Amino acid sequence: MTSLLRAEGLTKRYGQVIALNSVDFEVNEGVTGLLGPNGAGKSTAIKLFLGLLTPTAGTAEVMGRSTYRTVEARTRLGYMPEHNCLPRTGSASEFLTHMAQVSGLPPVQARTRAADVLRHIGLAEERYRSLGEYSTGMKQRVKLAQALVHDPVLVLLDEPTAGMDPAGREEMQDLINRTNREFGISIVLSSHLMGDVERTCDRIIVLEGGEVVEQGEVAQLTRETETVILEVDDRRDELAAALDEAGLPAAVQGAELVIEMTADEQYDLIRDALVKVGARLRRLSPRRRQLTDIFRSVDA
Amino acid sequence: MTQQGEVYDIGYQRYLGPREGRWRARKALWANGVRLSLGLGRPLLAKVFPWGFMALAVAISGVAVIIASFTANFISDADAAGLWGYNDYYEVISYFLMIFAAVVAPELLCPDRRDGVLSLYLVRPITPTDYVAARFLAFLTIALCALYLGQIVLIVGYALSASEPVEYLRNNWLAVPRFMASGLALTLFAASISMAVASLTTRRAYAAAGVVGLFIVSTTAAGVLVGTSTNAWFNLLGILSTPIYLNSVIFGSEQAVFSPPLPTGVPELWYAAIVGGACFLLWLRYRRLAA
Repeated sequence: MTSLLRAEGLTKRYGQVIALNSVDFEVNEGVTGLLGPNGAGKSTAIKLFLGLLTPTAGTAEVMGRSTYRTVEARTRLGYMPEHNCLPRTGSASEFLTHMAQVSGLPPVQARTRAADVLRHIGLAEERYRSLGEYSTGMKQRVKLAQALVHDPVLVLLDEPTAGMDPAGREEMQDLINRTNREFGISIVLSSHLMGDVERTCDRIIVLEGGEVVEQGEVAQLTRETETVILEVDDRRDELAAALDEAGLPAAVQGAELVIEMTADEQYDLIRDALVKVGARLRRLSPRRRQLTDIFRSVDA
Repeated sequence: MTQQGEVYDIGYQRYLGPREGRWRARKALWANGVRLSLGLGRPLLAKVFPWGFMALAVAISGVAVIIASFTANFISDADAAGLWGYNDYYEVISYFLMIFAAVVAPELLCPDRRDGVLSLYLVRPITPTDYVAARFLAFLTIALCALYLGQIVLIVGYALSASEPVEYLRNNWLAVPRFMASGLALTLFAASISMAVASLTTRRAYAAAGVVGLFIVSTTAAGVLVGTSTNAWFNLLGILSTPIYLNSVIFGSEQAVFSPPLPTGVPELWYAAIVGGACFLLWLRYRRLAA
């Protein structure tokens, strides 16, 4: 099966500056997060896949074709930029119909697709209002709609929740999940917001200094660790002392005790210590690795 | 008896219809450009200039035809009578065409860059050259429609005013390819300059001021320098002098646009250099913007 995106030895230099340095990765169906700090090479990678830049070396292929060699390869590709990209005049319906035609759809089908997509993203009622009157959240939806109007196989979303309030972010995250799960469209999401990535992505690729430093399934990267978090309502310090006495040192982190486990039998020691000091247990759970930890380890 | 209907949500449907690729994209951009040029789907103010220009193009011809119809023995040989010919029409309309270009060319290019819509076009199955060519053709379409419409009113009006309309058309049929060629030369000139200027800024007002400013400054400078010197080359500074010269050459007029005259072929080369240079600048700007 051909990958949706494939970078092989992908390099991009701007004079002496190396934006991407011989990067290799593949993107298949699902939602993939492209993570990294500013200057990591995320935007350069997206531009290379969109065919807006030519690689210095290596290849950037979309569904087996190079978009910088043939623009026809963009027919099944959608893109939602981070910056504003909507005209100030005209309605959403008119704009989407036009963008569908620019993607190659005949006029009648373009009009039907525009109406359908606007209904799916929840703007059916407002489709004839002027875009200039739309709120930030509605504009983000129209930006997503124009990326979907020609029914692409893959959509590249650049910081899709940028500038949105928490409620708007949540709605956009739901819309991204629906786009993949209900519409069957694969997504590559560029973001620096861990919450967005954890809530929407199946897989991530972490870029740093123009190189891939980590990639894999989100579930695998955020798997449970051997560390246990213990939270009690009272007698925290006595419990820590009791655990220490039982040969299970616990580090105090705020209201929690953090214990590095080496064997399942150690859970019995925790139970005994709790009984011994009479502390009321609020929470006992294994710690999950956070995506922010990946960034910390990359920075280190 | 009425039957009850039910509405079902059949969910998201994949698009399985035709995909017409790059040609459809180019056509859509051209059609959108034509709409923008005419101010269609825009507020009333956006329609004033394009429709005003169209009306003016026809009105000038209409006035010429009315005068002709009241002039005895005029139609049989208009040029010899020293009255209004097809080349004279272009000399007058060319000034209004430059104003039209100053307003419409920025309308076609500036908002797409200012609002970021260009970034959406350039990730679809078109190249920056396709985009610029579609916008350029949209301008040519509307400007040529206005100019040719004026000339059609002129030739039809003159023919109907003549005592022998068929005879008039037989004697003057060569005016049709001439006004088509001259109109194209004039429109290409206005389009290339105004669009090149519009590609340099995202503000429509600045672009419009730039085109009008270039026209006024160059014409004034040429007028002053030609008036105070005997150097014929200063004539080339006047931005409209070369297309007007070409117009007279195409119509085979004896009229001296450049006084003293320039060496043969120089105005034609200067025209090609201006149009070619402006188109190259336009192409280069959009090539860079795409990256």
